[in-house]
Amino acid sequence: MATAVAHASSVIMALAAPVARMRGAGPQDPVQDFGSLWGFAVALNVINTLIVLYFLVKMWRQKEGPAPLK
Amino acid sequence: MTGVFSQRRYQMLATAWAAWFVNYLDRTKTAALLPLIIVSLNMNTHQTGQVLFWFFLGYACVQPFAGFFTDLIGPKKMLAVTIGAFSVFTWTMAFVGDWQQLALRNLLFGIAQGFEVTAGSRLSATWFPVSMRGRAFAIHQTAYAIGPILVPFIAVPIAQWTGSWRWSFMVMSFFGLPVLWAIDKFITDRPERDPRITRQELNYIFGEEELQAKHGNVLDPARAHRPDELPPGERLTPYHEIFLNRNVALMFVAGFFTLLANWGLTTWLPTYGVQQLKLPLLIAGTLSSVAYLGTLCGVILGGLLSDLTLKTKRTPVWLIGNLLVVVAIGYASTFRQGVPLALAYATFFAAGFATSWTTTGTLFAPYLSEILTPGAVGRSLGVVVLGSMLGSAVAQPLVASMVVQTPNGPDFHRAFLMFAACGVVGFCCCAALLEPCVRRTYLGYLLSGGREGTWQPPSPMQAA
Repeated sequence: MATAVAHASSVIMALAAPVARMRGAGPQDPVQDFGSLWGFAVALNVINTLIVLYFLVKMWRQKEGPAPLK
Repeated sequence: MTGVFSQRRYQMLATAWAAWFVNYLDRTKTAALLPLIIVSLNMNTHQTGQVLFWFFLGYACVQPFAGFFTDLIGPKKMLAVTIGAFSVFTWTMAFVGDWQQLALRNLLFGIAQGFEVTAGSRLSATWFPVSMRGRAFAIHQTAYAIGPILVPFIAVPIAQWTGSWRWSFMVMSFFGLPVLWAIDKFITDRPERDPRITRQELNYIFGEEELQAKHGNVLDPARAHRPDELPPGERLTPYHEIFLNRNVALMFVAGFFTLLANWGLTTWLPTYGVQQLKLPLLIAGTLSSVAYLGTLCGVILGGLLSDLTLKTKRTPVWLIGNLLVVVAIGYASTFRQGVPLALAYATFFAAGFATSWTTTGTLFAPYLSEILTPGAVGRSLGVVVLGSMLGSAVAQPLVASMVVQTPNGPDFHRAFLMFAACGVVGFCCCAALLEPCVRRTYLGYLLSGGREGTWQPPSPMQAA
């Protein structure tokens, strides 16, 4: 449990940081930010979601019961 | 080592650890990337605070339900749902265009993440015998200290290499997938329902006598009517015993104050370092890292101390921890500009160490499983975590209101004294907690010269 939200120091450091365009900041518009890789990014997310759904459906169908002992 | 990992309980623990680790990597990466996100989305301080607040609100609100659902559908499915949900919400955050979208997704992300602590805790409590629970849960809890230490070295380089923070979110959304595979392969809700477990390991977890006595199929200890309806390791625990329990209520209050101190301290440490101690920003930031390192050491040592030296007593560790909070943070309140850096590091290491020896840091799952039953850990822990999250919520505005403006800049000593006072309240709550091993409060046990008390759980462990 403990500190449950975020690495706190980063929050303060973020707020204290100079507002300058840093490498990694990127444009506000996600389409512009991903640029030519937009389609690739969307495809990755579809794959990610399908894998998640596959595992969830698989585990949801499993029935646990008393097991025969070895 | 091969022998250890062939044991099903260690496979389960390693998987629960990985899930908790990825959970912390995922939640802390947003903060690690905040300098970039703030610039990218043109956010001001108020909007940044809103984004963080909505995560927190989602996390806190689901706690009572998280515990209930964990006990209802089982920790395996709960763990899979939470990992799957936050993997998906992580990538959706890569597609935001303004702070409101980020805040909304952070709320959903917080809700998704909030379901994990009860599931992982219940698994540790169910799969390990009392004599090992403290150490097993300590291993599980190291994930929340290691995650924040490592995340800047993972999230930030990805963003800087690819030129956008959005790719860090994209890449890290895939971290949950191997964990989902491991959950599917290695986790079973209960040891006796695992087809791959050996009789020898079951005997080790429950004991021969308990295994012989209990063959029940009613997995919810609140719904069973007789002890023999329950599986091994469980005892009848009606709802009123969970929700009207003095110890759960005390842990709720202790959790509120100890997480108020913990969260308040680690959030403000870098600002305190810069503004009061006049340290460079980078050095001030390392004060929090040192506190996390202390937490990591504290979690491990707390489990060892409880299981080995204290013979599975849990509350003495929390009593010592709260006293250390008072001493370490109280001492830190005297620091002014020019304090030796080594002394500041040592003190905040001790503070981080101490906050891990509290009801929100370690041993809470073993304790709840022993004062109630492993099958009720989800629901009771949901109540405790709710108290802790409320403490976290009030920490920020409270600390801000206690910082005094002086000619030399902001002065934090009143806030630090408040954190120390939280340690006093935490100590008082822990002093009133029953210690199941000695059947009374631990202080009562010490003051009576080591005489055991008369407390008994309403339903005995063994079948009649």
